[in-house]
Amino acid sequence: MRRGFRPLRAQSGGADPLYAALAPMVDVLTILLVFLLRTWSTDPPVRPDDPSFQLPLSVEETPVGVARRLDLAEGELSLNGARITSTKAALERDEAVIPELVTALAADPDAPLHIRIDADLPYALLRQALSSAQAAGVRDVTVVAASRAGL
Amino acid sequence: MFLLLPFLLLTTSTQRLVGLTLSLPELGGLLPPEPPGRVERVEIEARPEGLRVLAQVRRADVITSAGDTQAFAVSLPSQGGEADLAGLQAQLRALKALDTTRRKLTLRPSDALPGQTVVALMDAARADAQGELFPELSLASLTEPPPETP
Repeated sequence: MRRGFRPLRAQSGGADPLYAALAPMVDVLTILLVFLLRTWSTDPPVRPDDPSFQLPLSVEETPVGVARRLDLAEGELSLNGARITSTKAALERDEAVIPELVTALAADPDAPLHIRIDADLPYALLRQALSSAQAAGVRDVTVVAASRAGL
Repeated sequence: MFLLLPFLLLTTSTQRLVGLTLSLPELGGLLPPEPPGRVERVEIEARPEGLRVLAQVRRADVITSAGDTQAFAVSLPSQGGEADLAGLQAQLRALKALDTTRRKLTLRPSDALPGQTVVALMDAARADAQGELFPELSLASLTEPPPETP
């Protein structure tokens, strides 16, 4: 890159307008670099097949590790991508626990569980999921949110 | 920089995921015992119409023992349909000043509240601009009707 600038510098004779013109671009790139490093995340898309799914936003900074994923989406409840039941059915039954979910979670109660709820869904669904996890003997439960500091 | 920037632009995800850990007791079990501080219980009841902070504070008496408490309840009506998070944090900060060892709080949202509001309440209860408030949260159900206002 420097090789290309030399002839122009020789023509300009002392002052270096090209380097002066590059300074704002370097500033902008530096700001962009800092911004990207600040917000850099390799977390995969939450539900690529369901673009309407939006996680709640949080100011929390604790990153999530690896765990079973319980998705409470508008259409269905799924555990690690496997459908458990429909959200509508779970809400209409309005039971303390979701029996299908208790059965699925009880297969490995010691594994941590990450619950990802759509930001617009009611707390009733999260309450049912938490009660189901409790009934299945799961102790390590985390509610997953999207960081407000992210892109 | 010219290599790093395209790399970051190609690999950066649009979302950074964070986790809010919950205290979940065993079925039929109880949460671990509270530390012996002045504040024995802190709860937040959250309804669409507003928040209610409930606390059991041990009386400031030399001979006071555990369980000899005074109940406090503060209502914080919603403002423009939004929960009064600033007012909530002010109340929690006052309780924290009474007992800095207290870390646990129970949040009781009503079934109708959306997930975003519940997470915002959890954020507000964990910390404010001055620092930590009550980082160990339990979520519980809200079954009682709202109190009658005279």
